[in-house]
Amino acid sequence: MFLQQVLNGITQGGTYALVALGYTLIFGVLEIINMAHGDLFMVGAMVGWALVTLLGWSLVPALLGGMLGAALLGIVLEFTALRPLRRQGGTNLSPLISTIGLGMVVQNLMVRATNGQPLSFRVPLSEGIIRLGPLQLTRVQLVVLVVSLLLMAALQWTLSRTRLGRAVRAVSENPETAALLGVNVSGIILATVMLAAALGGAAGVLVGLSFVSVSATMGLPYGLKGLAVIILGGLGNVKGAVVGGLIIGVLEALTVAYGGAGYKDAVAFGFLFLMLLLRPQGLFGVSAAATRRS
Amino acid sequence: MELLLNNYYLQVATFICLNALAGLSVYLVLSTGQLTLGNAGFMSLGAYTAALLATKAGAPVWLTLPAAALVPAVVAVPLGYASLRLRGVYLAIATLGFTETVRVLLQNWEFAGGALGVKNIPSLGRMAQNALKGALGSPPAGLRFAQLANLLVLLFVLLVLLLTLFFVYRQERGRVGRAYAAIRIDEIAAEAMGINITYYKILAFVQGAALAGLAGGLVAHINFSVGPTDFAFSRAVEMLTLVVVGGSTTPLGPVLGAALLIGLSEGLRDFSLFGARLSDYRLILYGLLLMLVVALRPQGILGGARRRKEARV
Amino acid sequence: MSTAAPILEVSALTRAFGGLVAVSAVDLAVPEGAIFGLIGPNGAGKTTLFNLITGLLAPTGGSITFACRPIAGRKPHVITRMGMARTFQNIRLFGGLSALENVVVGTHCRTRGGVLGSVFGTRAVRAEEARAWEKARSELEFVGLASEAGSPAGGLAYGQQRRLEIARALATGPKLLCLDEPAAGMNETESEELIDLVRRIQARGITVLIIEHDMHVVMNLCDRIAVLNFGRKLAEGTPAEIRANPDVIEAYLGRDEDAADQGA
Repeated sequence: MFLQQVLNGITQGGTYALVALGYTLIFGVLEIINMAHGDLFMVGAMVGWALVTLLGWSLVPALLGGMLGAALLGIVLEFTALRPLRRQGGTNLSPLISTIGLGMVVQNLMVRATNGQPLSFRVPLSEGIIRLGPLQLTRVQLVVLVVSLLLMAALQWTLSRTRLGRAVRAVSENPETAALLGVNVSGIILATVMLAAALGGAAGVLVGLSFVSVSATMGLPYGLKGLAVIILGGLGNVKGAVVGGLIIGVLEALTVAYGGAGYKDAVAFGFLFLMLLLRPQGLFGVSAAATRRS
Repeated sequence: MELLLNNYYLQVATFICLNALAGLSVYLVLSTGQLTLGNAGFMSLGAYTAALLATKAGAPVWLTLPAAALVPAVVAVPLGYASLRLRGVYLAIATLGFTETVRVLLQNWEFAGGALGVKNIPSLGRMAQNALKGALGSPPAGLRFAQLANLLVLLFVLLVLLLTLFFVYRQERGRVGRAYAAIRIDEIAAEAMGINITYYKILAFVQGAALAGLAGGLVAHINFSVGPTDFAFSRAVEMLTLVVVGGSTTPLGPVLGAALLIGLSEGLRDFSLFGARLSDYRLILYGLLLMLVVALRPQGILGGARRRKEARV
Repeated sequence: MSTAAPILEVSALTRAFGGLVAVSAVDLAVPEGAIFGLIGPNGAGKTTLFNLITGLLAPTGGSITFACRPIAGRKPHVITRMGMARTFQNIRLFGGLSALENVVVGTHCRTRGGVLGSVFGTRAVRAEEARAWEKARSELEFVGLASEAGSPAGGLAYGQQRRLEIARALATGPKLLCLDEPAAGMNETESEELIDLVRRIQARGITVLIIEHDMHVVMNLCDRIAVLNFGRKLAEGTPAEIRANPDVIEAYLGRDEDAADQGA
């Protein structure tokens, strides 16, 4: 039973990790938290839903469609909420507020479009349970787990082996130096935002699959949990986002099984406070990050 | 007279004053450079304190309201202390986490009504009506008791707002206000000049919490009921919007912000654009305003033009 | 110069950042009423030493005694209240405030008015406020900036900003004033004015500890000088002794053209 919960938690944690990776990427190149990330996640889910339900697409194309939809919104985010503020050179609080604003706009436009009602996701997968010894996974869970792991691996490969990835890492280290070395910093920032959005969108589609429904407000709890994950793992730290996501996923599953379903959300927040109190740089972060010109 | 004492206008005006108080609570904390999204959580604590004391213990308003300010203030001390080392983004996230934690805890607390919240809270309006009936017997000059009661409630809330503005304004011009400003502009220099930044940052945090709690208590007694989701993330964002748009460098900023934003959403109620009622787009409007103001005029409408550099956001 | 106990005494003071030792077993004794100079090549650890003394950093070894009381590890505002004030190498004025407002912030630790006093305008607090503003005005005048009282601090000329920072530090009523490169970026006239200002500060009975690269200022102003290099104290003595010290000359060889020009 315990191991089963752990397995459930890892599956859910995979989606948290994907969301957290989106935050991490943007924090890496821009040193800001994109508060609209939860809504990028939601838009991905909505697009995936529409492709499956209205156009009858199958899983993989719908997933890619969701990622693309979210990435497109990422472009809007960069050009309306982020780039104009960079020219201004304000404090680190302005982009935070600006992204909060954009998130509100996106979320409420979607609320209007769906009349505030959740939409059910007709899962393009057969029902079925797969058994692994004493443990079991539903088909959906398996898909979620596999896709999450694949995407994380793809991200890791992109960051370490491709030119794009190297450029992203260079800009994360030091934008001025990267520019001097010939990197198109604005372009890389846009690409990173799109990448982060795509990951969030993918997580959205996966979550929609898992819970068989999507709604305009589904972004908020995931957005917040994603924040808790990156604080736990360390801002800007890829490994931390993954490990943090899994930890929170597992702990939540255990809480539901042994504590009480209602308190599930409190787990993530509890960790958030604990980390901020004891180790603001997170499990894998470097101490300087916590006091870097925020 | 009939027009002035229209129930609807009275209620809108009261609503504006309540939001102005909420905005001022964020303003107070922002004046030390701390961006907090936790005051919605404190409002919730205040509202529930007043609601529970009134419905479960039968406490009168002159006890529930101070309690509504006191409970959040007490909670704010350890929270403020823990948040001291956090800057900018971290603080915003931590306080947002606090607001959500309050919501989750209240949603699961059966004593407080769980997800349904507390109902049948003695309302200020009803109290005013009874007092008037007792004092006057029959309503004067063609007015109804309900109208007069609403007027009295508005005057009460307005009085609280004016006293708060007086308090904030006087504090700002004195030694404490200077300490706040110094901390906001440059903490290290402030500390080197002999200012105990720990004390003042927590003080501002606690003051903000107490004010938010008071506003919450007032809301509880005006709305008859409170629920756990009344003061969650979107409320936190609304409170922030009031200050950012109205002006973050003067106490009148949040007041203007409240008047403008609520006036706008109520005013748009009767208009339609492309077949949709504009008032439904209220939150979208808030979001757009946030983005615009932060990009074009970060100090807000009332923030002095040449103090752009000193905008608190 | 007094022959009583030194106002500031630093003993075996050490500060390490992981493997890097920025300040290594430094001993210093600053006599009360003196103008004490701290010089050394860039990166010698001078500002770190300042940060240790003024409480911005905690030492990893050694002790600091100020006015016969131990202060190592105490918070900056406590140390300021005890009578030590400082200026910063990179000028940290309060940008949005006027010159006068900047200086009056310095009076904070000598006043007590709290929330209630300000809000209700009690007589005691009103009187205290009046005194604080008066003190601020007089310090502004002392540094020669009385005419700029209402000007935004950020808009002042560089040399004026340095003097404003000094006025603000003086408003805290210090016994010891720590100046971090006050002459940086100043031309000859301004440096002379600075030397005059520091002498007038000394005449008020305030001890001055000064980090400086400008050798003309250092040699003409200081009663005693300590030289730091690579976090260690290289030498200490009167300006003449320091000027003749071969180790000091070697440490500076080829570094300070000013010294060569001025025949220091």
